[in-house]
Amino acid sequence: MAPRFVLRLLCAALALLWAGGAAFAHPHVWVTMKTQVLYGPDGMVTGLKQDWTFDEAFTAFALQGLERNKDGTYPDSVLKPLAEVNVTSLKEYEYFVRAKTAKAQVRFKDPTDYSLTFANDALTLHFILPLEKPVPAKGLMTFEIYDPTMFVSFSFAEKDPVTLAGTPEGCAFQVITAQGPQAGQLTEDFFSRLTASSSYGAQFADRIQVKCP
Amino acid sequence: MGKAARQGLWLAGGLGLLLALLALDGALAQGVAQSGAKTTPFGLGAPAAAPSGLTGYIIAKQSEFYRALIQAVRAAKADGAALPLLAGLSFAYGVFHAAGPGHGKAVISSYLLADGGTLRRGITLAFASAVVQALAAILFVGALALVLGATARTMADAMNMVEIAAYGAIALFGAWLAFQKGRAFVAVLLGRPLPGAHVHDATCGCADKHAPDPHLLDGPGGWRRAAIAVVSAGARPCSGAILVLTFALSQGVLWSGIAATFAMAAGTALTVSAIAILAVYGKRLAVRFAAAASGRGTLLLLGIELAAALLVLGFGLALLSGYLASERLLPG
Repeated sequence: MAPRFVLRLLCAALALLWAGGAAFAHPHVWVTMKTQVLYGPDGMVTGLKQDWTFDEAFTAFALQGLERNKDGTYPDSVLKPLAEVNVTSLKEYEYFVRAKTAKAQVRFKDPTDYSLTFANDALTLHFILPLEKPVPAKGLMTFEIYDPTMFVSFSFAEKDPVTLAGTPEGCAFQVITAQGPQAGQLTEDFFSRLTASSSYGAQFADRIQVKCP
Repeated sequence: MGKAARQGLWLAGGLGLLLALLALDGALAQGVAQSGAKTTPFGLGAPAAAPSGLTGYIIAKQSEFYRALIQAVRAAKADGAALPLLAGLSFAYGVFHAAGPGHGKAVISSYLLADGGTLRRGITLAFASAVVQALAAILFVGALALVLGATARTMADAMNMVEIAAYGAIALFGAWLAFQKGRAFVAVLLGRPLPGAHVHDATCGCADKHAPDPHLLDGPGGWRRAAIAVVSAGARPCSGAILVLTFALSQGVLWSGIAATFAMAAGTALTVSAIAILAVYGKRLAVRFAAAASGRGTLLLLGIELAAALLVLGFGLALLSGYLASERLLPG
């Protein structure tokens, strides 16, 4: 009995060491995000505008050693290239944004109109992610913004996490966080119909759902 | 079976169960992370399921402490009285943070498995590697950010070089350790005397000839090897400490960042100690039972040590090749 038991103990110990070493990265960057869903004049969804505000420590790190104005702001000559670097390196992570319609995943093109602003000791990255092909607004669209490696921790802004710009009549959105749905501008009917179509995988990933009649 | 042996068995059983649970939790978390990282061509990929269980708890706690500690750095700028709060938060952050990768926990524990360890030695190594890591972070930010005014990009590049050096050292050290252990293992297997060891016979005064001498291979090189393990495990500063130090520097309160870094180190040392103690006792129990059962305890001991040395080598190579996810300093 003993040798086998010992072997198991050892295996468990080794597995622990291995798993402990590799198991998870922990967040080092916190992003508070706002999302604007963009609609074309024809009522099609054309893309998303993202505003990501970084936490103070990461902001300090990102701006470390860079030229600062006397009034505490940063010149465009600093912020522009930094925004460029951010957006370029985000490509590998597909901008941490996933979108799908009721039927299929939707792809994005490279971001346009990107910039960084600095206020209240925090950098905010603004960029527009155009859809590869605009999709009809009608029906349900889901957006998920997260880092699967957990290096960046995304959370919705408390105030106006989602806005709909140029929205066709009757559209509504819902923000779902790990804590459960938060009120958008929705009717009870909307919620019950959502629950009925249960094709939406895990219940508790942070995501945005937009529904248009 | 004697009372002591029965007690030992219970203890070992409990320990095994605990280890298994922890390992399972970690393995699950890893599975989640990997499935999340892949995207399927037509699907959304796995949603970012918030890790549950122990792993999720640890991540949630350390996030909480980190956010609070950043606020405390700012508070310490205005009012020195916030310093004890900052130290307390940093300590708590360190305790939870050390459960993640990049803290030499795995290297130190496998080294202890490989190279025979006492409780004192385990705790000493845990604290030493935490202090080395704190100093590495302070030196890193002090030299690059404070003295050279380096940018984030430069610091990330410098970190790459530190990583290659540190991980390479871990791999080399593991290879060398495995060579030493392998030689002893083969010698015992073939019935030759151990290289450099004294012979156990009726005259050596050992109480139990079947029980392996835990100090069999400590020898004069024991502490030197331990020092190599400590330095290679601690050389890569933790990203959290670098971010806190850089933030403190930007706020003009570098000293409070340094205090926070040392408090963090005390916290990580506590966690790493606990794991090191598990390694020390786990090995001791395993060897005792195996020795009682088979009478070939020495061979088994050397087998475990060889495996652990190979594990150190494996960690080094995995970290070096990027297969084993380490911490990042910049997204991208």
